[in-house]
Amino acid sequence: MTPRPSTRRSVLRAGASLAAVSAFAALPGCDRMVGIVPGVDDGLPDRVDLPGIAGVESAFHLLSRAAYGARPGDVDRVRRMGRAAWIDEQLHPETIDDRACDWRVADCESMEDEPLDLRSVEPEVVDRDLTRHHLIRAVHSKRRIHEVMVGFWCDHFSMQTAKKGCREAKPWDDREVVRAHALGRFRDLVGASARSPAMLRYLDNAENRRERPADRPNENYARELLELHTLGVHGGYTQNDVMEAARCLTGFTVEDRAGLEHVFDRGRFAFRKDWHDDGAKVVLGTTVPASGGEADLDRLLDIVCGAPATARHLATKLCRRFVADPPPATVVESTAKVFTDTGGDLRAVVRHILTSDEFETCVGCKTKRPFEFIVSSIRAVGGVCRAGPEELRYLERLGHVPFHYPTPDGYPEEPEPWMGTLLWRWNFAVALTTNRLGETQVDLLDLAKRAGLDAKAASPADLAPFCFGRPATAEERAAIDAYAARAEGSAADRRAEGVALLLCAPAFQVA
Amino acid sequence: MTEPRTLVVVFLRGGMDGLSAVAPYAEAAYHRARPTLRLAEPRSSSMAAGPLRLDDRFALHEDLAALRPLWDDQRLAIVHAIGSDDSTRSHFEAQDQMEHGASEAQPVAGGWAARWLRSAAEGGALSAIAFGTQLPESLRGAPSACSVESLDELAVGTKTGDAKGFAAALAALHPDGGPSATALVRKGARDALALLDRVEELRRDAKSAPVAAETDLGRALSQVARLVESDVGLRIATIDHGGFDTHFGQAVGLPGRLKELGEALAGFDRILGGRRDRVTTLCVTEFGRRLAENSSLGTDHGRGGVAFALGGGVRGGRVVCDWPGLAEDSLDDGLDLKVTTDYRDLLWETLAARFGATDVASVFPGHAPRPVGVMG
Repeated sequence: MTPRPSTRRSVLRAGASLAAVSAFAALPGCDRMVGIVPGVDDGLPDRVDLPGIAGVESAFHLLSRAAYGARPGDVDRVRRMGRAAWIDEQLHPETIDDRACDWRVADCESMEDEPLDLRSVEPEVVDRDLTRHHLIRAVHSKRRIHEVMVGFWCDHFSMQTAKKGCREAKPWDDREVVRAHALGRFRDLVGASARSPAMLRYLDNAENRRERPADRPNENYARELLELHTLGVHGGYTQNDVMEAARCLTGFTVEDRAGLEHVFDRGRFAFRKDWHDDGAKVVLGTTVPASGGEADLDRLLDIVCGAPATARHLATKLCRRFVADPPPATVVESTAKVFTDTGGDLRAVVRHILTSDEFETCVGCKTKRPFEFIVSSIRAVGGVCRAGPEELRYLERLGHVPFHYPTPDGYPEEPEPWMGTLLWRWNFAVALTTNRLGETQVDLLDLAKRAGLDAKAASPADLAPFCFGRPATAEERAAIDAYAARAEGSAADRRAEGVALLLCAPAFQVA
Repeated sequence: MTEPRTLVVVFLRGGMDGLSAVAPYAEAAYHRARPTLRLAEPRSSSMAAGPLRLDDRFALHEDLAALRPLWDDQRLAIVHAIGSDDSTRSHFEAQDQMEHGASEAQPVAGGWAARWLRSAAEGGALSAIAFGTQLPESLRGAPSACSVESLDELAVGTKTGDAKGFAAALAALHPDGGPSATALVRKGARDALALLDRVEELRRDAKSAPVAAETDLGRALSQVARLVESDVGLRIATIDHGGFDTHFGQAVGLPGRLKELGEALAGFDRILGGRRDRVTTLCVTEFGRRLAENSSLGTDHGRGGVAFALGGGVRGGRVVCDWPGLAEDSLDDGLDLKVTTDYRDLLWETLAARFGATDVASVFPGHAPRPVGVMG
């Protein structure tokens, strides 16, 4: 499990001075402060090389898919380390010092809280903390593959915080389910999700009970567990399997009883024996014996997680996310085999995908969804993301606010539904590069200098390698230079909007 | 379908009092339950003041008089005793249920309009627009839907002020063709640029463009009319019209809201002109209000309400309903007008008749729609 980030609150618990810590948070330029904590720095390197000579270079491609895009300097680092070593490092996020990013999200205090505590917090505050935390970590965390996997699991175990009882429990779910197991074992991840108050509420298992023989179990979670989380819709289960799984799941709920004896458990996962159907069940042909009680949950999860259909379903989804949509059959097959052979070891599975031949050859065939576009834009120009109301508004306009998708299948992966969002992407790109995104800051002159360019004389098109992993084509350069040569506005604004054009270009919408 | 069609959904927030908007004047129980708020006997001549007689049972509130020509033209139909099975009588629950296309028996997450757009697999540059600060629940889950307060927001906001040059550069960056992912983006971008062009033309003509009515609702409908006119591929527009939660002093609060509604809808029909048959407008509300007026001269949350359907495809000039009556034993919980038409039946009939929708399960899962008879 990833160590708990040291946040403002935990620093306070450790006895640091309230006044000194508050001063960091209050200063608009507090990212500069990051540098004064020894070993904690996430600024750009002094010198960054422009990536790519011809074609999108392999390190850039890897970062596009497995790191939400490259920040200036990242390609140099992967090249220096070697791809394999970078992947190895990233697959062990617990070994990566991420305190700089922890500082950036320290004011998202809901993320530290228990479900019960958050019941009394304004819903808007919890939602804001959830979104800011997700966005800032996606931009700034040094645990790149981990963050990308967090995004993947947030779709796989999608939930909408607007559902009653879900919002207050989502921060716990984010910590103890998604982040804790993002690169662990799939079975542990599903086990944690099945015990997550947020999931129990979102898919109604909190209401799933059989107190009297006439009670019909609530099948909602059982169905989605089989259809979405494990086997997949064509995973070979029957309606009867869903009903039997629902019987196994009766009584796994969220403690909500009044009374002193429950006071410390309220809002937490609970097994209520009096709600549990303790008869024998048969799921996918395997018997769950009678009188199993609380053990029924793990018996059920062992059966569904261990089924070959689950390996295939997860391999397909991961390859669709990382390689291509639809993914080549060869890589799905080999990934499913690794999944089965390693007992669902997600590290091994992700390593296999990222080092596959298919990954290497499928360059530029994925379309970025809006969240990926926003994160990779800020990263490409070396921006500092504050995730204020402006960015959140863009996520809303682009229809891609984390934890807002209404149905449990998660935001669509395919590109077509997102093609109506280009206008807002263009506006975002212009707002970002002209520094009109609240406190989010971009310093293009500084970036050009670090890249060894004559900042004032250079064309915005010279920064194309940071966005595309290759120099601008003649056509791209012509379009941008023609814009740069026009008269309206200041030279700096025109340069900035020239860089925005790079972020608007088709080459930046694909990865 | 030869010409592109548009659906406009006006959500009357707060629970419009259907028993005032379209009053059952012929029922003695109505007059008994509403000693101060009841409508007067309808006038027979169009010159006199007072409610307008629609048929032997119902009269239209005089502040909706602007709709009378549409009624006479058989372009406006009224559905009475319509609503959902939500029994909480909570605004939040009932609005959500209606926007999700759900019922108590069949809860479903996400918006019905979003599911319809997804099942129709259309992703034009502007297939759905919501007027307001945020996307309504009915469009939740429609990734290409956008919410704007005004069409002016459909632009690239450059800091240099050179939106024209920026658009030209974008056009140069998006030539036809390329590998499939790139080609898709290029096509999407050219659609978006075409949209910007048309909206820009609309902005230029804004001063001379006719306005449905000088109210928020009227201005929003005027912008819908302009989008319809410029063929941007708009399939659905949603607009909120609020202020119907008339617990207190209804006789003061309600007329203004009704007048705005009637005049904006009539003005919308007028400025659509020759395109009016391409647009169908539905006005829905989360519930009607209690039959008996309360002690503060208002009405409380009830059940059955009224919906208006006007424009293309509507067989109008009729109040469509399976009238449950107002006798105490025919009321819901002994208090409220019963719901005899499921709101989903009206929505589905419109989608099927006007937009060729065929897969009801993809839009209203678990619902078996019954014909309402509003669409011809």
